[in-house]
Amino acid sequence: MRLAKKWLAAIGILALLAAGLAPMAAGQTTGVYAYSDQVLLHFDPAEIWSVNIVWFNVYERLLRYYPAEDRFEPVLATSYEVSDDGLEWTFQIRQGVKFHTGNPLDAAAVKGCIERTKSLGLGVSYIWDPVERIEVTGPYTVKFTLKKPVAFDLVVSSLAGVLIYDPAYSDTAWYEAGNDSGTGPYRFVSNKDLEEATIRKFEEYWRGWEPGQFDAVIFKSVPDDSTRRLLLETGAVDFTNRLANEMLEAVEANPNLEVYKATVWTGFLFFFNTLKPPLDDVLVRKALAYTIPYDEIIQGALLGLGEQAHGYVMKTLWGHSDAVRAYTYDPAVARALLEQAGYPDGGFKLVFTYNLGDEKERRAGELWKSKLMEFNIELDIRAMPWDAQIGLAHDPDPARRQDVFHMYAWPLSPSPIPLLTDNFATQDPPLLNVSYYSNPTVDALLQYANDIAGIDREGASAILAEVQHMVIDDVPIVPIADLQEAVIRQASLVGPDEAFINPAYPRVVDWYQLRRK
Amino acid sequence: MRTYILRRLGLAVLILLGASFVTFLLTRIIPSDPAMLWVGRFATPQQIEAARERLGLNHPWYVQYTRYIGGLFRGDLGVSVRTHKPVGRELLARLPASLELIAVGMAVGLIAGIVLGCLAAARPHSLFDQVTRFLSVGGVALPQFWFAMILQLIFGRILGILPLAGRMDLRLELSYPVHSVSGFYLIDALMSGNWVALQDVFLHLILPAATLAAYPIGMSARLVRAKMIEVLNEDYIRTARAFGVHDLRVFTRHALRNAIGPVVTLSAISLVYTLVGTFLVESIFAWPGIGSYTAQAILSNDVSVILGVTLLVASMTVVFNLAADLGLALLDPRIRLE
Repeated sequence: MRLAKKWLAAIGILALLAAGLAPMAAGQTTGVYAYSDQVLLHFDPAEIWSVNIVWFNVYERLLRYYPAEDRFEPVLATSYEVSDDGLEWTFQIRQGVKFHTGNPLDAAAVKGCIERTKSLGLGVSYIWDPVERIEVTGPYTVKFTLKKPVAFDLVVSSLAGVLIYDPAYSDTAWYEAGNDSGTGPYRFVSNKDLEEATIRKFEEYWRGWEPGQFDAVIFKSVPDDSTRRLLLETGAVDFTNRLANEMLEAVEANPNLEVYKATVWTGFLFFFNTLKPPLDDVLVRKALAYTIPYDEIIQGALLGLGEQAHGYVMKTLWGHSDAVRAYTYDPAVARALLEQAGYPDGGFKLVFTYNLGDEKERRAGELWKSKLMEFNIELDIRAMPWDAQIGLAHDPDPARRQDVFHMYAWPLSPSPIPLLTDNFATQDPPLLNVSYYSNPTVDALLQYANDIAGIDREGASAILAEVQHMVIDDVPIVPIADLQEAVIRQASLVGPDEAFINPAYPRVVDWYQLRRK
Repeated sequence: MRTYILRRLGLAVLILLGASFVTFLLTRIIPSDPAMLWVGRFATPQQIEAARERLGLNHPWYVQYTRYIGGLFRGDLGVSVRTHKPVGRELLARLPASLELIAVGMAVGLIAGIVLGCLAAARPHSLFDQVTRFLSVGGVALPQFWFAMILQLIFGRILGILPLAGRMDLRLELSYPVHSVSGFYLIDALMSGNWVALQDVFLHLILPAATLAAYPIGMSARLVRAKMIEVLNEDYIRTARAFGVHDLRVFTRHALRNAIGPVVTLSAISLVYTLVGTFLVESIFAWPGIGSYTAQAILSNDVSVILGVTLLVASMTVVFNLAADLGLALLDPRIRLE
């Protein structure tokens, strides 16, 4: 009896714990972003090498780019002037802005932080390489003198390497301890093992605050797609950057959720190893390009979230040209080319690698494999972690490298030139040019386009179109599709579309612009 | 006893060295470029080379391994190429979350399994016994990730009575933060009198702990049932009943003590299985422990983390097995450790 009473007491305590006082909600002004990957990596703004969902709301740039309108929004720079030769760019720095440290933003601070970023040489600091010198010509005026007339407005609005921070705080350890020196609407509050981060409203933000804006935002790493979906459906989170494409139809039917789709600057590409037989033969590469079932891949692997690529510059990114031809699935042409190349019956094997865990890439490979069987070509599909793939692609012996490297590609800045340079320019040793393509004419044209883009964007675009025509004929890389992304949010979360998806800054949400309905 | 323990610990060192060597070799066989992972996609050749130098990748593999072992003796498990943080520090930071989950899951699993096994043994071939058997097989056979998702769907989504993920409600944590002392949220919330957090943490533990408990429930229920039936047919049990000893006392004081031995051994195996099981369970429940950390490391080929976790799991396996053997010897004086 005594034992039974003890058990009953224990169960009662557990029940009280479970039922108990209803905990008070932390408030409707706290946003929650469930992210599919690790939330944080670097803390020092000079070291950040990619756009980050947290830091985007903490640090700002001189300009922000909106590709839909091809428009630069003044952020920490209110205006800028360009000399006729495109070598001098003078920016007026916004007055009345404070860093989260309490120090004021001025021209000297802008110069100081850029010079620190350059001197550390970390992350993508090389983005400032076109700068010859920086001069403070007034308390709020900074002049950049460039080595060549590159598109400097695109440089300063890049996704990484151009964050403006308080140069008085130059110790990386200070940042690693969880401090920030940004000017953004939110300040960094806490981090849990890089998988959860919290930011809170910076009361002295230069744009000011209105009722209804978010006081705090929590970013949480939730790797599992189905968990993220359930969290959205139960209202536990407000936003997620992606769900498995198969889930979108069901989610779209939920009146409490909004699925927003947009073309992003991500290419879905097959890189051919042009140094290894039989892919060293352009006829074989062209033949293979005609064996790829583009429509099936877009519908079957991407579930409709993409459209066939025309060239290597994605839609909505300047430099894109619909005139660049797109290969089609044409078995008759493929057979004729294979015969011409000396492989009338196929009879060779290709090693195809893709990123471990990426279902889209896996399905694309499987769909192509099934077509290649009709040509008696074997596709050996291998899933590998990213660094293993790239390690294999960097093997000193080209014969040991994979034949086809399935990879995404996206630009570092709102410009196609770094993207095309990464993919096509001669690289020895190779970096991202894992087709090992080398064409001195293409190299020269890319360099020239880069050098004039600051003063003649149209001329640069025309050159890039020519480059793409040349490369698509050599076909070291087959552009399969320009991807679309689908982000999912609570229907009660409202704001301009570009606050949810801006191809220039993938996966970030501009929480300052959002309200809860 | 002391000699036995020292000998087992000595063997453990050899086991750990062997595990580290094999794992290290395997990670070196797979083509990889950790330097690219360290510096990111847009790195320059100079940055990549600097990373190779920093990570010691330019040395032959046996030099790298020797340096790694040397570091181990200094408590240095290397640096994660994905997070750039010391592996040892990251494992220590995440370990309490995993241990809390495992402790609760195992406790629930073993207690429930033993109780179910005893009750099934008391009523062999009854409906209760059949149901217990069904649950046992299910607990062992059903994939943990599937079970986790089903629990989330039923209790989190459809019924809406339990939280889906994490250690605590994210918004609530802002208002009622748990000041981490031990890293065990239940203990920290209790010690600081943070009752709101305590309740929320408890609720968040239920689904992931239930997922982890399934396997030990299944294993221990079947084992206890079989052993109890065997023991309950012994003469001394019949004698105790003949002397009018109450059934509950017969079960707990006489039969269970003699039947519990295999469960102690099993608990060590279950513990290791549960530890490895956390890799998937933590990923599904977004639980910030070593499991989800390891899952990410495997997908990104983060060698230092893979090595560190291998050594951690191997160490824990050795310690748990040793503890199980010692526990068994304590429970049963007939067992002599040699």
